[in-house]
Amino acid sequence: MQKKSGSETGGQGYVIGRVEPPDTGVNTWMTYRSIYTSNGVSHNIQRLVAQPKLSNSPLANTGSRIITYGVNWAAGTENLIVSTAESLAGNIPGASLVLSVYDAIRSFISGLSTTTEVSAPNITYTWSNVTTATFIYVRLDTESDDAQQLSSISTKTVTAVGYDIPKFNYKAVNGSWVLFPDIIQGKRTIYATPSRYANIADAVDAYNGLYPCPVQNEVYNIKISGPESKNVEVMWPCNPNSPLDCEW
Amino acid sequence: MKDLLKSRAAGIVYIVIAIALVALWITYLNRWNIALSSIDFSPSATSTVCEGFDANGDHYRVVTCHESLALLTENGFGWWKASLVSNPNSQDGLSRISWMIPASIRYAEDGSFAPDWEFHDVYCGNNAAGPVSPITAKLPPNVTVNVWQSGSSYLLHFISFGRESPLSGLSVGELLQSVGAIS
Repeated sequence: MQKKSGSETGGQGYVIGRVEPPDTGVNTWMTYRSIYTSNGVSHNIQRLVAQPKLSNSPLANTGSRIITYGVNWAAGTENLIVSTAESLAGNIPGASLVLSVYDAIRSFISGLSTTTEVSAPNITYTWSNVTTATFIYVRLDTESDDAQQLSSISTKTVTAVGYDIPKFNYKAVNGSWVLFPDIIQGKRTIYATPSRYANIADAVDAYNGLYPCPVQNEVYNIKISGPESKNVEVMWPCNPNSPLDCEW
Repeated sequence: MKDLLKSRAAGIVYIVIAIALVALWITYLNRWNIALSSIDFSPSATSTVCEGFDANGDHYRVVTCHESLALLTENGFGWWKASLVSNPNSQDGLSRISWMIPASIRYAEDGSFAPDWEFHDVYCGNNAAGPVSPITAKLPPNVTVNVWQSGSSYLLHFISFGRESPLSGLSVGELLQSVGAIS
C-alpha cells in the first residue's frame, strides 16, 4: 500500500514515499521506473498503472438501455451511434464517432440506399467501459523514495457500445414494407485518450512547479446518443485522486 | 357529539388505509402475473426461457406464451416491467428477441484490450413441418443452441460469446426452411 510521510510541500501536493501497488483484487496494477532528465537535472519517475480485472472495479462500467422510436427515417439521415468524450480541457478528438443507420445495416440488406425509408421500433444499447489510470510519481534522482511526489494523474478509456435491433423494417423499391428476417447486432469501440495522457514531461514540469501538482488529464465524460439525437447514456468514468480511489 | 364524529372519521381513515395497504400487498404478491397480463400473456400459459442479470445488474426473465416472446426486467422495488415484446411476424411466422451482456474484458499481450459480449437470440414459432434440430448443423462456429420442440411448436435459444455476434444478419427463418423444418 502507499505510504505517506504526512508533510505537505508548499501547495504542491503530498510528499509520498515509495509507492507499492494496492492489491484488493479488482484491478491489475503495474509499476514502471525510469529516469527523465530536464534542464540537466535527472528525475526518477515511477509510473503506476491500473486496469480493471473484475466488473465491480471502479475502473469498469457496464449498462444497457432500450430506446423506443415511433417514426420512420431515411437510412442515411439518422445516426445509430454518435459519441463524444470530454476531458477537463474540452473535447477529446479521437473519441468522436458517428455511425449512420445506413452504414450499420447496408452489409445486411442489398439494394438499400441512403434515402430508403426504415423503421426500428426498439434499439437496445449495451455498453462496457474500461478505464486505465496512470499515476506518475517524481523525485530527484539523487533523493530517496521518501521524497517521491504524486505529480500526474491521467486516465484513458475504451468503451464498447453494442447495438441490438430485434425488428427492422424497410421500404422496398416497389413501395411495400419488408421485415428484415433477422436480428441486427453490432458494436463500435470508442477510444478516449486525452492528448497529454501519462505525459512524463508534464509530470516533471508539475513537480518543478510549472503546473498545479498533480497535473490531471482525465476523461471526464463520454456521451452516447442514438437516432433522433435521443440520449442513450452519459458515462462518468472514474476520476481518481489517488490509487486507492481505483479500488472501491 | 363532536368527539364521537372525530373518532368515527379517524376510524374510517384507518380502515381505508388498512384496506389500501392490504390491496397494495396483494398487488405486490401478484406483481409477476400482473406484469404478464399487462402484455396479454396468460400467466398459466407462460414459461420462462431464460433468466439472469443484465448489464445494469437488474434481474431479467425472457418468457414465452403461445408463440410470443417477452423480456421483463425487475426494478429495485421488485416490480416487473416488459422491456421487449415480440409476436410472430407474417413473413416467417417467427417471434424473436435478442439481447447482449458484457461478458469479460479480453487483454492482449501488447496491452490492448476490449470487452467481450454474451449474445442471446431467442426465436419461437408454431409452424414446424418437421424437426427443427437439424438446424444445428447449419450454424456458424462458436454458437450454441437450446432446442425445444413439441409438434409444430418450437423454440430456439442461441448463445454466443465474442466481439461480434456470429448470428447477426443470418436469417434463422431461411435456415429453418433449408432443413425442411418450416415450409
